[in-house]
Amino acid sequence: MKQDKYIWDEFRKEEDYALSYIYHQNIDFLFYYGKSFSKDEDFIHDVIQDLFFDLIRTRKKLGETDNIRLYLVKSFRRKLFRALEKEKRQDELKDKSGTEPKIIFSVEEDFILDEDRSRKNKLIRKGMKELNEKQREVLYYKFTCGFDYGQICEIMSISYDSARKLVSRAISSLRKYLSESELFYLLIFRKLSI
Amino acid sequence: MFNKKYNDYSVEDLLHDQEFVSIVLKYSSDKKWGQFLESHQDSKSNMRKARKLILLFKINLEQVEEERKFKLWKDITGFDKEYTRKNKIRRLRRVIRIAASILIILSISSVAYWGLNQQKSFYQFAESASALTTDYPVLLLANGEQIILEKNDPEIKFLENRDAIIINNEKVINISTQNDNSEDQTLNELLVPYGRKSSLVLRDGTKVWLNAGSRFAFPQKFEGKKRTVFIEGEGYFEVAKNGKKAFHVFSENIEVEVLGTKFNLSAYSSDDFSETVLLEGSVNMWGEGKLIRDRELMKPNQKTVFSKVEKDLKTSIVENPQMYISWVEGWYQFSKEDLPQVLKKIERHYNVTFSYDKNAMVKALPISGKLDLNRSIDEVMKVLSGVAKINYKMVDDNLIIIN
Repeated sequence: MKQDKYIWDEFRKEEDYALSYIYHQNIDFLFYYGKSFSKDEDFIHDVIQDLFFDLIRTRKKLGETDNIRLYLVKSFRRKLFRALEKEKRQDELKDKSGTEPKIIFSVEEDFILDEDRSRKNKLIRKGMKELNEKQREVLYYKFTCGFDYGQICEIMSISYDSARKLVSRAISSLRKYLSESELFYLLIFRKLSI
Repeated sequence: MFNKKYNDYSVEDLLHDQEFVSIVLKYSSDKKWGQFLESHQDSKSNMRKARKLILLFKINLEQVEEERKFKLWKDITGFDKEYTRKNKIRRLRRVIRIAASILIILSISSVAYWGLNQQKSFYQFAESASALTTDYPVLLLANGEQIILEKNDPEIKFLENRDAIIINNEKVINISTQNDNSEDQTLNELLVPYGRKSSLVLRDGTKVWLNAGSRFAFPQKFEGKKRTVFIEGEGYFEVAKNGKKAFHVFSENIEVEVLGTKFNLSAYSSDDFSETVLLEGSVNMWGEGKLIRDRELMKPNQKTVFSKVEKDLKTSIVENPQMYISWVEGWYQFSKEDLPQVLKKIERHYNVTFSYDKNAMVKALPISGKLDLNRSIDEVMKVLSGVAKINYKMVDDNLIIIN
């Protein structure tokens, strides 16, 4: 992380290579992060461009950081949410509910033809459906990206306790569905073995 | 077996535990995960459940095309130039420009696991550092097998044209190599705990002695253009000559490239430096730099030290290079060595911990002379306290307080 602090300072001092380093070290992640919230790649592209233009414009006034990616995620998230909200308003003036962007996990989208599995999946999906947007975001940082609670709190501006609580609650409700689906499996197995 | 952690963790505890989540995300292949499970027999079932939950949150996305990333980069640098040109007439910094283009090439790499922490290019050992507190050295084979080496100073030899190893010249173990070339090559690992040492003959004939508290990773067979191995700790290498395949040793901060030579490499994470002493031949050594890696071409009887604080390499001549490999024979030789450095070596060899006030160490005299590692820790401490003019107290078997 020492290196991050050094590069960031160099960027603030307008050293050319620092921008290049920051871009190439993080661009894959930023696209991944953005596309988790919206599948529209052009849209994400524009937000990332905006993020970097802003960094360049304000480089002299930027604060310090020893974790460049964390810094980028924080400001990217702000921009992304604002842009998504704006788009939503333009697209569907009628539906005003929920301004926070929604993450869709791959399980929820999988279309598995195999009958048993799709029934099992249905249960899991049902459980996933009950997760609200805040929970989805916390779970995304925790289990998709592998961030620690300190980093999650910083990104979402929430307290350690509420981050943990969000995770705990989501887990316990999901586990109900998971064990139900397991039970379902058992039943089938019994039927077959009789 | 190695790691008592997680023993009485509930599924929820596991899910909250950052380290556990990272392991699940990192060990995406079933094989690696299987190995991890095997070493935590008691908590297997909860771990399986927790992993199932974690993996529910996968998001598979299509890769963004390189072309798009490149175009975006051009737009951003274009904007950067335009914007800064308008604001200021700038001096051209040619050297840094060149550095920038090198960096671009270096930094275009795809990473599967998105941690916020900086990705290190250094090898990740399968077992955590706490495994170094086991009683005996352990050989972890790439196929998942674990061999515990209970004899003193075990000697392991990989046979040249066979998939087998001989241990202590008596026991032959056949290694079933699975043909899973699809997966990135898994390495064998040798863990040498504190208080032990081991030696190893690699398949190419290279001989490696490993000092206490070291971890070493190496492939079954050296395929590709280079022979690459990884070390954390201290090792003495006698590299078998092969003009076509250079031998590369990586440690956390330094890399050494050789064709065929004898050298000692010490890179303990507890030291604030890493060093190489060359006895024969010539080697190239790189140290992790602030931006560009430092390089030194070393000649025999030279020592190159990488400072983790200053991030640079310094080379000096050593009068008696044999001194640096005396540990292979079971003794240490010091010449005007600082006491804390001597204590670190004793800590590793005798598996003890010293507790002392750093300021008090300034008064201690530098140490010169031989230290026989076959002596008991009591004898060693008696002699050392006399030479260095220090007082000490043995608190229990492995804690010694110096004042």
